[in-house]
Amino acid sequence: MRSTTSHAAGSGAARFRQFLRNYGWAYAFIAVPVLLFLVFTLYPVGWAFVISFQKYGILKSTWVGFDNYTYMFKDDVFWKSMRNTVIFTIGTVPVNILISFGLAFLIFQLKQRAQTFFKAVLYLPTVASGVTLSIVWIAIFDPTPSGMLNRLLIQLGLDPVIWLGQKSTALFSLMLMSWLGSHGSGIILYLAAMGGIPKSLYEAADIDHASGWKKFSRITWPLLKPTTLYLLVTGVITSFQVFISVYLMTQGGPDFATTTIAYLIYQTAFNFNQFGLASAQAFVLAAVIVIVSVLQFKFFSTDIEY
Amino acid sequence: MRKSKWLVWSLVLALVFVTAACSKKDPAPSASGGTGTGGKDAPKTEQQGKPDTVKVWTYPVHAKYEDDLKDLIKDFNAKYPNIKVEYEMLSWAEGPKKFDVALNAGDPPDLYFHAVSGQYVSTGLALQLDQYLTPEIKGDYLPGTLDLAKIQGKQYGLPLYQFQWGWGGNKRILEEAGVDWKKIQQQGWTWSEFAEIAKKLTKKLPDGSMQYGLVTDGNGANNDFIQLVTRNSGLDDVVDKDGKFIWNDDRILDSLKFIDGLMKSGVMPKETAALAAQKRTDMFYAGQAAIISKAIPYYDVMIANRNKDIDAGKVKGEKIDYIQLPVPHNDKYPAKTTSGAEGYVAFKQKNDKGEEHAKNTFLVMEALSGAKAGNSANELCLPFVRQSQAKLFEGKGLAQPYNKAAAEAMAKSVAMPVDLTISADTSAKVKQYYEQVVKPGVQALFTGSKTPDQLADEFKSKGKQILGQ
Repeated sequence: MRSTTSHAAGSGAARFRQFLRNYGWAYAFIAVPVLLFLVFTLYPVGWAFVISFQKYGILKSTWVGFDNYTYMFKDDVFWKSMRNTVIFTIGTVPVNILISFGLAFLIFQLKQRAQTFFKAVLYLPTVASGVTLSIVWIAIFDPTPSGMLNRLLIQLGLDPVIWLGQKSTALFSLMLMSWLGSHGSGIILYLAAMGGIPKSLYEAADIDHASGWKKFSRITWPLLKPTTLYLLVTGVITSFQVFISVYLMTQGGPDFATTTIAYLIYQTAFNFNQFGLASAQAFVLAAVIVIVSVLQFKFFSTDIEY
Repeated sequence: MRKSKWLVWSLVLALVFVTAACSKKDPAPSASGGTGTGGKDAPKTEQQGKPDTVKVWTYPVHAKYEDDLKDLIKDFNAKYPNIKVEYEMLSWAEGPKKFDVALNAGDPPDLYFHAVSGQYVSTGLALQLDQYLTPEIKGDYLPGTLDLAKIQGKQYGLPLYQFQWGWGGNKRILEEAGVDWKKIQQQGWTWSEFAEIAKKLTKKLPDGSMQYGLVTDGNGANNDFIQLVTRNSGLDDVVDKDGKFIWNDDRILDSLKFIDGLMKSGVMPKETAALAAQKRTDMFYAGQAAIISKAIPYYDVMIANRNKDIDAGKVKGEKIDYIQLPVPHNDKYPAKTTSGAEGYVAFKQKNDKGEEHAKNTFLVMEALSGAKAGNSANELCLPFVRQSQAKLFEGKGLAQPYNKAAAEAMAKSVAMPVDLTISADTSAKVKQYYEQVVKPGVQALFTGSKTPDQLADEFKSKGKQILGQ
């Protein structure tokens, strides 16, 4: 019996050594990022989930059950910020995708050197920090008649607008900033995807005397769907988390017109020191993003093959 | 076999790296004696030859403050070589956020430049100083000034100066409109007197731009503006010194009507809700604002420096003579100056470094707040808080004599901050009320989307909801 056991143990050790020889390096390389993920992402997220059920104190926290969630769902400001976030997302993501696609489509018709030039030029804003861009936009949206955008309006015979200072235009101004902002990544992705479409498909369409629109609607657009879906999902996630422009340009005002959920989380945590409530808000935001992403995959990826 | 060993070591090293990066530092050893005293019970750190380090987070309090700070630290180290002072100069824009994050992570610096706050005390990390205050130190502070750094009777900070917020005027524009600004500086003015004067100050300039009677930054910082106005309507704050909600009667409605009147008459620009602080200053420099709100006596020095830069050709623009003005008051209530104290507030950390370190922190704090530190009040043209400072800087004032006299007159009618007496919990709720109710409400008033009556009702009902009264 003993010999059988020791034999089994010996063969087990041998199998482990064999496993290490075959896969050890792979696991070693994976171990570092996995550990970093566990320590710097999973652990804080898990801890934040616990805090969402607490009245957080630095030295002592108190368990409050679902109180933070109950308070949040009864809070007008939370619903206003959720509404603003949804409006911002609906108003920016599809428009940004269309702009990126349109620009990429135009650039794709150009010669290689011109393509490279436009790719570089249009990617530059992506490299610039959001803070810098916001400062430039503050000057553009200067509410006085000497403001850049207002000067343009006056030249056109229109009245100056208090862009960021009135409820009717504040959120629109942030959306305008997004539309005219960074499309670099989207353009690069679309150009790469356009370059990957086999030319033979267009040649076949030419033989069939297909019109430009037919080629676009039957070849180009369907084959770009995976890229569009990727941009849609990442765009929605990013816009649900919009923060920098709100923080720097409007601080959620006027009268909560631009308070987004990410800004509300920041304000709850760092202005009011209610970390429990802020964690609850963050988890609801995460849940909304997951649900929206799943729905997007469910409805938009039905005819996509990877 | 060798490969397996390498693999195991790689994994172990990765684990060690990650855990080491995340591990908490051991609390510093504590001892009963004082490093500064150099006594027998010197802390272990000293025994090991390592000085105790006191971390200071501060701000460019005035243009030459960093030089002052270096001098003060040098003097301190000559006396206490075993206490190392590490300072970090924060930016006014980002510093408060950085500090909040550090505080809420349980790792604030030992000393932080700010006014004391109930919210700091509620964290349990603010260091109570009463036990370290000697009769000599207490006696050096001018009457009432130490109280400005107390919360509910307990000392948490040492004031460096007593700040004042008022309004600031352009001498040329005021005199062109025939305004007797010297009389206003000394005797104050009522809302109705201001409304009359402001109409004269508001006009279209030859280049087509407007000159406004009053300009404030309505974007973000407008709680300051409403506070200045309401304090001059018999309301020291949202709550009184006992924490009772008081923005619920005609005094708040009067204040809102006053602001609304200024907006409707065009004395304040219609873009106020979107004006940032810098834009307000730019308008003042461009002669488009006769008076600006939330102005401090230091503007006298700052604008005098700008005038020198204009003379030197470094800056383009019109030279301005600055006039410090009190905020006008409701005809039915007396004038009140918005004031408080700023200076160093002491903290311990979640991993407490012990009593020895706390004593050393206080030693550094006192060194940064002593007689020589009075240069801050001098540079900022503010009243001194310590007798030794007043003596050292006597006759060295930088402000114009009339502005210095105005600051002294304003100091006679100071509204004591209620934050010093209310509980930390009420203080946090007041902050929330300002952010979630007052700030958006006043912006709505600026844009004309809410009337004073609607807003007064909203302030009342939300006050009940948030402050429970």
